[in-house]
Amino acid sequence: MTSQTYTFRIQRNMPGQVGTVQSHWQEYKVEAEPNTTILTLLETIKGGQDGTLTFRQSCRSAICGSCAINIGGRTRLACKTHVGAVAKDGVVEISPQKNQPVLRDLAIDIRPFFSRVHGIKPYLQDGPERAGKVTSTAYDQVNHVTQCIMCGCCYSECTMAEVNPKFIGPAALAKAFRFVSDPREGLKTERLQDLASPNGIWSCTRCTLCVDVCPKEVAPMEAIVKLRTRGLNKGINTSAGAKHALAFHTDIKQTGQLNEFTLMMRTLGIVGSLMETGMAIHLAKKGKIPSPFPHSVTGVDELRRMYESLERSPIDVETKAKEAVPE
Amino acid sequence: MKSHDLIIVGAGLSGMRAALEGAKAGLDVAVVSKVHPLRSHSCAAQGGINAAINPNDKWEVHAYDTVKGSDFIGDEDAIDLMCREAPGIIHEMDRMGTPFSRNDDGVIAQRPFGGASFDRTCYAADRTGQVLLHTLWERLVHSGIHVYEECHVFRLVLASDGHVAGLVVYDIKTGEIFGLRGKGILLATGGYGRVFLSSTNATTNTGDGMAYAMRAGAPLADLEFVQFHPTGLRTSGILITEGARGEGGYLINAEGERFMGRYAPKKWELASRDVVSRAEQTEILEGRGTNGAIFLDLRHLGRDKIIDKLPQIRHLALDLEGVDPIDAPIPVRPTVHYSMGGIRTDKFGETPVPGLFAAGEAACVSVHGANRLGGNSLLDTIVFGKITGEHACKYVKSAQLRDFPTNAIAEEKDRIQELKSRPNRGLRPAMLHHQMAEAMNTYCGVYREPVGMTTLAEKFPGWRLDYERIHLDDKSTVFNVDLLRAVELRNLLDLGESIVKGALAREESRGAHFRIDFPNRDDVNWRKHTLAFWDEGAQAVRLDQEAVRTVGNPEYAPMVRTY
Amino acid sequence: MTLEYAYYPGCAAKQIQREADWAARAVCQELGIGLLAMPRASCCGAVSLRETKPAFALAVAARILSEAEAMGKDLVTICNTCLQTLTHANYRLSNEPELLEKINAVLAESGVRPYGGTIKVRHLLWVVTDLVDSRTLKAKITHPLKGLRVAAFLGCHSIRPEEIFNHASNTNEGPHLERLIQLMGGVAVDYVGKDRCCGFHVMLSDKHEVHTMAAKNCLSAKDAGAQVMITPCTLCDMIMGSVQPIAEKTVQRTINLPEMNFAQLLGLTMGISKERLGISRLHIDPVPVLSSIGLA
Repeated sequence: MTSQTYTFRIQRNMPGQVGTVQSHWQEYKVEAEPNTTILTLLETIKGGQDGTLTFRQSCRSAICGSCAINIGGRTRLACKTHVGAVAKDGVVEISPQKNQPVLRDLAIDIRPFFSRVHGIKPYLQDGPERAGKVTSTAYDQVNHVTQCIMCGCCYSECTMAEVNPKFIGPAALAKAFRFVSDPREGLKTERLQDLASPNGIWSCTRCTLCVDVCPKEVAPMEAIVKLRTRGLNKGINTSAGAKHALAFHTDIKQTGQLNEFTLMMRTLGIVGSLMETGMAIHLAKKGKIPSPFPHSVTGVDELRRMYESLERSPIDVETKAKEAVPE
Repeated sequence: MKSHDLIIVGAGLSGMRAALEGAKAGLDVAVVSKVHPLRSHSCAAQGGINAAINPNDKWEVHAYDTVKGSDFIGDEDAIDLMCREAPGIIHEMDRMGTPFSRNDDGVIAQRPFGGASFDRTCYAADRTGQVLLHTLWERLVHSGIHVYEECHVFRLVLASDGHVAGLVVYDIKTGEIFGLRGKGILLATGGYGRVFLSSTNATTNTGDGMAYAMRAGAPLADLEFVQFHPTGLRTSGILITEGARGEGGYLINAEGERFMGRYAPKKWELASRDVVSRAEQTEILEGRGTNGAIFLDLRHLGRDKIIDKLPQIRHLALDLEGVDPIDAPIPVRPTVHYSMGGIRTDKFGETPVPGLFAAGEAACVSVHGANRLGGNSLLDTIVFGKITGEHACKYVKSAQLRDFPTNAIAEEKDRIQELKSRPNRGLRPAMLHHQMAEAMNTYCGVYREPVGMTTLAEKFPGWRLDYERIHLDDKSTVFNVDLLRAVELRNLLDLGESIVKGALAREESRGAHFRIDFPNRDDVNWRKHTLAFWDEGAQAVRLDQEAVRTVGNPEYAPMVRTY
Repeated sequence: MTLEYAYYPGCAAKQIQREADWAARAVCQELGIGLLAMPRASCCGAVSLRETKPAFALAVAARILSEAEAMGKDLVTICNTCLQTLTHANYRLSNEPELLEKINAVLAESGVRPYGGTIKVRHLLWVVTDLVDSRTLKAKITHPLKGLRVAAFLGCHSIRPEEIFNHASNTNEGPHLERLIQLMGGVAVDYVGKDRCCGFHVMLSDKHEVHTMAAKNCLSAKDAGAQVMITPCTLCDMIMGSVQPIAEKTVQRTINLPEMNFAQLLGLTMGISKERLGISRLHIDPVPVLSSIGLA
């Protein structure tokens, strides 16, 4: 492999008056092979060119979660990102994580992120739902999410967190699933009820960004989907999001088609639908209010039979974590 | 000034486990850590944690393996204690929520590991340290214990009677320097891998607690015993777990020969780490390596097994060396991994300085002696985190807060102000660090010879002068990592000097310490610990010795160590 | 080579967003792409069905895929969420033999043809940009965009997760939508919000957040100089168009960025009439912008 010169275009942030940050972009040139990690090169710059350049790092092997920063438009771990993979015309643009307050240069204030994790009661609790025995497959679900290193990449990219700072966020919700899916947890239902509150599981947009940016293959959105399933199975279905989800299988079972008219009604109730967002008015203006009586698809009886068959003899289709043997 | 009954420095496995004892005892405990607890380096331990939980195994056998692994210089009272406590610790971590891997019957699974005579290593996939760390953090959050996060300790402060008084702390986030009073201080600050250039350790592993303890008058022990892991990646030194060999990986040289049979005919790749590291270094020195590395060959395991069982390893090799172990062997070399030495304590983690305790890699209890067995370090951290925490709690219940000499804070503020006010010329901390770390690697590595070590030892006074002339680029207050690195560098210098002086003094070969001029173990003259003290007058490290603590078990009598 | 597909427009295109269906059919007719009806196909269930009844969701998807398989055609859709749902199910059914067997048992028991795992799920956008001969396509573009600055709003569910899409949309040449803009003679505007979320799936539960999301994405495009926005998704269409007038109040800024389905803009460049493409059904009138380049 041949080395080449890369330009690092780095957002510098200096704290100013209380709560403010002064930002500017600064460029550095470094010589490197394409498979050199961004972290190595940030260290090269800090050690040899500019000791004021500030960023967090520690383990260098993608397990401590310190070095998550925005590299080339995506939040990534600097220690496992190769410069050649992110440079555009030899330029790498680097800035701090998004959706969080900046302390200095690339270092964000991690306290708001962790306060959300604290909020889901991140510890096993004793209670009536605690199972006595652990089987060999007991952690098939737990193992997905215990790979999380709390680096914050998902939170930085989260499209809901961007517009709603109160949203619990993908990492904390994945952590919550870690407990809900653990046979030893005693208060699963209580957790699911808490998580169905506003700013919880039903506020995830399903944009799937957290799945793609996660450096540890945690797939937080999958965990959120599973939390919703478990909540609905426990009859926790009073939120708008839950009602919306429930409407789908009712419609499909009955007509095979989504009835967008009744979907709104079921989600929000009649009054809620009429009040809805003003969107209805805009849709009506364009003649876009859906028919309340869509035709059934051909063979809808098949769908009903499939549904009933699965209600009679359920199949577990949840994805399972592969058991990586250690050491 | 804020005060606590017990202040724990470091929030890795030892520190957090100790803190939980404080909560249990109903004491006011606080934790100070320069990183968020989940960033602690305990998370990087991949392999597992040893405990005789199988009915066919016995803690006594585990203890014997550990005594032998230590090359008969581990303290036998502490080894017995650790191995006896081990099964209880595993079950406790299991109850707290650690998702240990299970056998088909639901029992916690165990695997073979180097130097062990039974498949005794419990694990959670290939991220045991990470899940243990997260479990203890969960309990820490549950306990409500206050953590001074991203706060670095600048100095351990003693009262006029020699008892600990507290700490001078630097808040990295704000630049504030403040005092904390404590009836007791427990140091759980981990190892010092950054003394060396090539290390599996995190860049934050700068042995701060060891250096502060020594400067406060507590001796360090056995710093010359530096464990080299046989499989650090060639370029970065990042760890490839022993599990890769546990799963059947081979070590081959540049000629493609599986060479371990020539060095350890019974255990081959699963011989003790010191044995494997020396074998590799011999191959490299005798010209059968490539660019300073030999190779870890997993190809014969096949694609499926590599993907299923060693996914993290494959990713590390791909990400950091650009090698896919399915198709090609991974270039590896012996790399600094672990410090058997540390702050000298008794088996309850107590140091000779009243009110000062130490646990985990920062401490030398000593359960690892001259060579640590794989799977024993996680065990050490949790067992002695618990025991030392419990012991320290008992101690502080009957101890008094001492007067805190407030000039200590002013002195630290002055020191930082002086450092920041130096003109921008001359050495930068990174350059001085590089010089020392490179020399440590070259002259105090797997094989040690007296001329090189003497040259190295003689460099320290010069480096200390250089240190007084380094300058900081960064004069600011918020998140000044430049400053932090400079402060850490003095700790690294103290530890580097202790390591090389200890290695030069120890005229024998034992465990991880191998002298070309003294290739054999010398139980008559050297079955003893090296102690290192800070000599304030000479501004240098001074050595002493101490006997090994034995328990009179005839099975523990030194014998030739073969695998 | 004739291109023929089992056509799965999705519920939105059958009801609220009919104009996307009209445009897709019109464009395909011009390009000689056959769209065959799937009379038995039900709603895909979206992520919602996966949440309420995960096994039923897979069975429903398998039944849809099976219908296409019986027709001997790959499936093509114009809704990103249908695309992701069906691709996700297809990925699992093709990679997990035991799962396929169990789901097929349910299908068989219910009188449905079992799924053989041989179908590819494609977006019509991919067919147009990857499979239609580029000379053919260019020849049909008789009314090019003349440098019109177009924001490509990619839509989450045709690009993520990479795990299921990296084969289907694997290309080094940038997103399909941006390539299409270039082929049409426009300039694809680079802007921050292009790979973000429209908020459709939480529009009923978190409506204020959806307004902010839509406004931010539109404004980021607008600030980058976009004159019009296109999406490959009927659900993105629904939000990015209809929410703008409401969102303007939330963010206290005028947005007024015409938004339409990619097939509508493609149809216009092919000289297909505005009426056939349902341009009048759009919430933000694109005619002033389009007439400036002689397209309307």
